[in-house]
Amino acid sequence: MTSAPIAAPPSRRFQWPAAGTFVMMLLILFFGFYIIYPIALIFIQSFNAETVVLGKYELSLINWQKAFTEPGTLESLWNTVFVYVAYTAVAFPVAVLISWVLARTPIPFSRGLEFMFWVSFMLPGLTTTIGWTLLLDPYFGFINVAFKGLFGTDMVLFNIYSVEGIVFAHLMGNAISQKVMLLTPAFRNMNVALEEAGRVSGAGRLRTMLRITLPVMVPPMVVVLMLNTVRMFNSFEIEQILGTPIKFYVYSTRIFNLVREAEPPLYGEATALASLTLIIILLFIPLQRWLLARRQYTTISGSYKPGLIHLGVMQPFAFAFVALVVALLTVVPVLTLLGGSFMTRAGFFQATPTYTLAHWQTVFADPIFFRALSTTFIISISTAVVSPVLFSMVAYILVRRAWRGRAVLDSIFWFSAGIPGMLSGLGLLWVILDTPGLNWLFGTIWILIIVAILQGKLTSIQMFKSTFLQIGQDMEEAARTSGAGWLYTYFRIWLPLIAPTLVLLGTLNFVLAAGATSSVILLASRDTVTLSLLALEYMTTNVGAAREVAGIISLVIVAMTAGIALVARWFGFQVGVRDRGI
Amino acid sequence: MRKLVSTGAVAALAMVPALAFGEQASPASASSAVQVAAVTPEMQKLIEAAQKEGKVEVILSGQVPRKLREAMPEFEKKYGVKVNFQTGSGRKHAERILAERRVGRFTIDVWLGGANTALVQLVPNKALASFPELLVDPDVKDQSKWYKGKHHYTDPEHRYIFTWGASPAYNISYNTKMVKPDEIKSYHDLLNPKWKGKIVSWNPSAQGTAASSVPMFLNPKLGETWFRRWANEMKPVIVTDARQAAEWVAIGRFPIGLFGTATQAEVLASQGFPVAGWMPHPMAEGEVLSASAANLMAMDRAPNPNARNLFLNWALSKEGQALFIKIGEKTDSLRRDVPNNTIEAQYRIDPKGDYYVPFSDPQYINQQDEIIAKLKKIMSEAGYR
Repeated sequence: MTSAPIAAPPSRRFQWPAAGTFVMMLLILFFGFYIIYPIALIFIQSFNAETVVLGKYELSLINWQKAFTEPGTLESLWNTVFVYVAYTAVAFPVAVLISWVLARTPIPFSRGLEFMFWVSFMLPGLTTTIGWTLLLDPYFGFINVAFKGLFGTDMVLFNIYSVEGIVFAHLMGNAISQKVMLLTPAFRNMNVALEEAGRVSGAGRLRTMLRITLPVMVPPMVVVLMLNTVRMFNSFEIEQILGTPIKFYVYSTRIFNLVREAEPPLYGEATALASLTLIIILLFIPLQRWLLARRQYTTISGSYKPGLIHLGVMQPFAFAFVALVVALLTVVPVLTLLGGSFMTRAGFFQATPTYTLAHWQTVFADPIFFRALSTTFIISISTAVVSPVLFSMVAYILVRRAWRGRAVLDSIFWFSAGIPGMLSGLGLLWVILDTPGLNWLFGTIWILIIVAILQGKLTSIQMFKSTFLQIGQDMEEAARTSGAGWLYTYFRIWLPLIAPTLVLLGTLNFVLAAGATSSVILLASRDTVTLSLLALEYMTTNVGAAREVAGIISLVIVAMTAGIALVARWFGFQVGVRDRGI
Repeated sequence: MRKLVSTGAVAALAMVPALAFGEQASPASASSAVQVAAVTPEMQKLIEAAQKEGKVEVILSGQVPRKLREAMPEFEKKYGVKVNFQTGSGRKHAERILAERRVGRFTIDVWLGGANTALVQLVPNKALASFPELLVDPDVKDQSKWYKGKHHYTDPEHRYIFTWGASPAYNISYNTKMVKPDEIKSYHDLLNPKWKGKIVSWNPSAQGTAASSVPMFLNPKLGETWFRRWANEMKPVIVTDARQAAEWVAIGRFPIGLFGTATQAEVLASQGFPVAGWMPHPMAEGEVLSASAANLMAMDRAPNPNARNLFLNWALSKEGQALFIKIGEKTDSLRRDVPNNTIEAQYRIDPKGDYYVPFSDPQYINQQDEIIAKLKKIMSEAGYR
């Protein structure tokens, strides 16, 4: 009889946790402090019966009660959801189609057309909406006036002051362009071998797209849809301009009014209303995990073969469709901005004199302008360089490392979307001022840089995650096996593969940093005013009187961003994987 | 000796702008017509202490104060004290400054801007210093030189928010091709069914319009009844942008604009549009003086207390006020010895005019929030959120 070997008693000696645990702990502590702490402060204040400005505290549910019993709350919530579903139902499939055409087919000027979607995204939403009102106002809009004159009718072709008009304005704003911008690089990562296999099996182009391409594109598409949904309550400008005259009120306008219109600002009620986003997030986090865990989405592996699919006779039509959408998304707002900047009153040819250089003179004579330009450039360029590198590393850890705590870290990023910028900005101000060791940052450009870098965290991390999910592990393993170190592997394997996403998110974060207002308005000092804050001041302090001046400042931001984006894209093409037509 | 040199330098500096620029060349020319009062020893002491501090931190919030940026170099030239100013939303500045003060940071000396934010945020937080004690210049302290022989304060204790300027309030704009001014002599004329659906307006319960709507609410000839009838019977179209409303009046989409549209209408009129931002006759219910953002406040625990006090005394001097109204364009000074021919006639305070002065009325000051809440309810019940 042989006795079973006696297992050695478990060692009672202390074992240091793996290095990964420390890294994860640090990340959770850092981002938790930066993201969750300000939100928690704002939430605590929502249970305060006293207004925030008085600095007193009286525990109460009154803000929550008031927020949800105010007449019209449910109606405005329904209106928001209705408008969101309506424009997303159009924008999402259109954006997927355009991204696929741009990335997977040999369409002429593909890169140029893609860049125009970026330009559309850079244009301020308010300007785009105002531009369309000049065309589609039922009374004086150019298109409607021409229609009436041409057909001798009193009817209008399209009234922008309507629910359909609001949906249309969203589509012409960022609803399509942002999705195309985010999805096209993901479609470029598609392995043409998979599509070729489908075609060899007898599937047509449409069937290949529906059965092969789209299913493996689930991660980026889900992420884009979720990112838009959690920000459903952030949009208010279009509804405020087009909805108020027809008594169409949305939820986000109510939040905006509580913070920006009420005196003193009613942060408690606004937080209560905004908290609905947290419920959406709580539903989304497990949904995303389930979706992504269902199957493998690798499209780039050692056998990765970039390439394009020709659409045959449909190719010119595809080009015409994309070109038409680009024209709609960019021509009107650019003409409104640029043309309007030389008019005494943008869009009004009756004004005397009709044309003027006065608005440009106002901008260049403003003593703050050049200082704001320099501040904006420093903040935005720092953001464009640091944020893609930082967030690609965090996303890499979330996707590629099996360290404990990943779910917590990922959830922290999702929760950052729980409170709109106009609320979290105040929480951040409290954190910066109240934290010893941090308060020296207040009033310096450093705090604005940090805020700007971290502003694009959710979109950046989720987009990088979906990119990493597309890339197979075999190439990294092959490089490591061949003796390549981490840095060499990063530059020779990872960088070329994620270059399009790096460039995209660098540019996106540059745009966000240059246009940031809510998140930085309380942190900027006299010496660190940015261009977007200056534009906001021209728009608001003068009760909209200086819209043309604000437009010129926006143009400067767009020109600066477009210039940087062009350089970044050129750099991205140099280091990235090139396409070859088939 | 040093005192003598300093006094001389101050007087010489004060004369520089008048000598260097013609009447039209600089805003400072407004001060050239004003005699500089002799400097008292107390003022001299203040000037020297302020010069040692070297700078004053000023908030300029609101339309008129923002324009006053141009006045700041005059103070700098005259006293050799640098003015660091910040413009932008008063509400945002208030939030930031109160958060700073809670952690012991005191960064602002002077605030020029609207009374509402100050009343609701700064006064309850004891962020403002009592004003009368800070007036040193005998010329400024002399209340007989001010409208109705007194200093005006827009706060319940009459000591924190000094109102330095005002002008007759204009609430109605109209398309001159569609409306004859004689058709609207009273606000009750706006309830005529022929104007139903033809009035575009800012929401009277919005903060930006409170200075116009609250005095109307307090007027016994108008009051709650008028607002209820207007909102329910006239079915006005409410917008959130005064420019949009004024443009709609200018191009004839709406014949009449109300609440907050007048300023924009006047800009449009100057650009050749058939629109007017003020009625050529007073309304039957009486005229109102509106201070808008023409208020001056001293921050408590100021980082540069002497420079702050010097700035306040200068701003309220005859010279400072002449400069302020010339640059501000649409606000007359409540200091009655200041020549007001630098502003257009419709903005001047008529010495014989019988105005309702809300900023001196405790009912207006104390009940503003309550009235805005009532207006919100009226508008909400009429379907406007």
